[in-house]
Amino acid sequence: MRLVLGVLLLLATSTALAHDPSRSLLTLQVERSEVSGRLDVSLRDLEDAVGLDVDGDYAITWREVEQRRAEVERYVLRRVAIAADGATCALGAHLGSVDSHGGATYAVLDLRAACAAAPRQLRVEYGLLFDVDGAHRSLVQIGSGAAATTAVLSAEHPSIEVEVAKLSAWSSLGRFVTEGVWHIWHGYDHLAFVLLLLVPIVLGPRGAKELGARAAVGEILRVVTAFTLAHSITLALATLGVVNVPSRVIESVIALSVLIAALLNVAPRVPRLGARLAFCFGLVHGLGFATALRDLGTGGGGMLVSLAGFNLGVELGQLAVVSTVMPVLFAVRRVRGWPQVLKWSCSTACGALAVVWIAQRLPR
Amino acid sequence: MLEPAAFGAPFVPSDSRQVLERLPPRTGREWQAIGSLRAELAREPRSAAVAAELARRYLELFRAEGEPRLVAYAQSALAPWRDDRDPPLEILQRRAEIAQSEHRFDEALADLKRVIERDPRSVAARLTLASIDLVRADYDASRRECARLVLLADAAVAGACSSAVRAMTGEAGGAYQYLTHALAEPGGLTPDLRVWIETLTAETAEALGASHNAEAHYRAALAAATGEGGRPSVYLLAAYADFLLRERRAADVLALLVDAPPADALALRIAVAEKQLGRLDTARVDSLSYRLQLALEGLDMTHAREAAYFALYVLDKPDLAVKRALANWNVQREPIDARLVLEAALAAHRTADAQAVLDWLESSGCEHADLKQLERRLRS
Repeated sequence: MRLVLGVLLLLATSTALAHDPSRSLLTLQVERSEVSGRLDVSLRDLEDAVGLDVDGDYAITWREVEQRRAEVERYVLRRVAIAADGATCALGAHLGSVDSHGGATYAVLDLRAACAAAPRQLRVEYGLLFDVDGAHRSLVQIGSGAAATTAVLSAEHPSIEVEVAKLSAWSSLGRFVTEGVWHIWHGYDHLAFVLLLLVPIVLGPRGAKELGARAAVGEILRVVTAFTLAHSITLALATLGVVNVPSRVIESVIALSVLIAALLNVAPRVPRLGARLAFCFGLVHGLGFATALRDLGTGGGGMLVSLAGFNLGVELGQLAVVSTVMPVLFAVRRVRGWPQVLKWSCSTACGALAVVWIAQRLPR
Repeated sequence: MLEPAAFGAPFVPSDSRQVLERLPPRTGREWQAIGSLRAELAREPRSAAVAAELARRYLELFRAEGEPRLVAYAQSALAPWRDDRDPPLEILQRRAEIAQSEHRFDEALADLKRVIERDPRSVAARLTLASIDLVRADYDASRRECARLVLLADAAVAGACSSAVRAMTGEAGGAYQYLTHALAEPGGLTPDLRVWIETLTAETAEALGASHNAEAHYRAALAAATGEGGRPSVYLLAAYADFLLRERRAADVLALLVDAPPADALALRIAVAEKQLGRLDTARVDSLSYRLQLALEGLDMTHAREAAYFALYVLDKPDLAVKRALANWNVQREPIDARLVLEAALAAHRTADAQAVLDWLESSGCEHADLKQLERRLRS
């Protein structure tokens, strides 16, 4: 018998499989002294832990889940603990629905923990299933305000401690920086406007003499600074609630700013407005950033953090775009005839886009 | 950074009779035996013989079904001896096999060495040791263990053990000849032994680039495995499926795996076959993405091979595949593991990342036709 087994082993060495992993998903949100969230545990796991297949037909129905509800809730409450600054919070669990993950059905338990005070440090201890399956894992996400941290709990690391205050300051700063970069890269209207500001500086207005390279770089710096200054001012004012303009109006004016910049670039005998134009419309773009930031939610107590992070992200994203576009423009202007072609095509394309945007965004 | 879990919308089933999950039926002779062993163990929780036999049954099922929960059950049968440095021999052997199944090779080796210290004639321990050494590309150690088996076990077992090493170290031709002779010996081979040797022969033929012979031996292995109501192992099905996929015979893969257990290693092969046929099932991809999530993020090393396979052949993410394949290469070094690194490096245009495997090809003397071809493409 032993011999046969050994032989089989040689074949089976590396066929460890991820088939239907024993895994739960735990998400918690801290809101002052209350921690709420949900725990999703697969029905297969609950069958192993407490038994769900009451009638023994190898099929789990909702009726069976309901019959075993109290047992499941007790099991979870015995094995999950939440503590705020060392004091255990009163935890409640309710199994009321199911969800599907990766083709398997999970029981969804709503969790609610009442802590004595708003936690500075939150500790979550998790002990489901490790005794049945040493490979069981729980994917944990703990959030406070807009910030969140994730972790994988295992038999070796069955608990997690989160500094709630730090969570909502530093990790949320990072998150908002990313969001800022993301916003400028995906907000094609802002990109189009910045591009339209740069093009005439390097490629020169129609008929006028080109700026020297050094002068052009200086002018770009001035224009970009003006744009940055202006949108930072209105972003802050709108986020702090000092000004309040309907977003549809803002979006329309932003689209209009793109159209105007496009026209100015190709109109004959219009002096380069540069920094002034950038500043005026920058004010409107800043209001647009504020709308985006508001949609992200600032989270509890993290207003200034999110504002600073988002603004920083926008500037970084903008810097990246400017430093990519600038060398291309300088390269193009060395080729005879290309500057005008590029300027016209750029203005035409952006202008056309702007018309579409205006049509879409006009307040009705 | 771990991606936050994606949540769907939880729902309350409208019909209380609606089946939410089907459990694999625990019927049949294997589960009956497990049931009575469990009852026996409940009466006598510290009976090493019963616990070891129960664990053995679970592991045997695991090989056929690829359900990792079965390994977990085996482990919990041994729970009373978990921290025992020197438990009874049969417990030590099972514990090593469980560690091996989860790729905790160092732990497995430590336990196996303790078995051999106490029982130098243990065939199972030496064979397990030889197979771990082989997977880790420690060919000298593997060869040594196989040589010791000559005095302890059936000649066919010792010979097959050595052939497995020779097939990886530049003697595939000789190994193939030996194996085909062993198969032709009249009588002698138990069904399990026949399955093993047929599979080894098929893999060796494949290494030699002899597709026709490889196919014949894979089929013979399947036939031997399914005789007398048995089932082929997930390993055998996956190896044969990979062979068919390389031969671009996707339809045959789907036919082969139509009744296969729902193991992920097999779901992966089905996905690749579907992809070759241009009808990849997105639900299958989603399900695999979820199941392999931790492995794809590098947080679960046990399934690094599956993650690399999935990233390379199904998701078309060669850069991710390179990362996972290299991490896996540090744990296991079978031909499939080498192939994953080489193909991923080619697809990602990162030839420098294939260096470790190219070095291994040179130092081992491995002459696997398929790997050699990849090597030529990488070096050109």
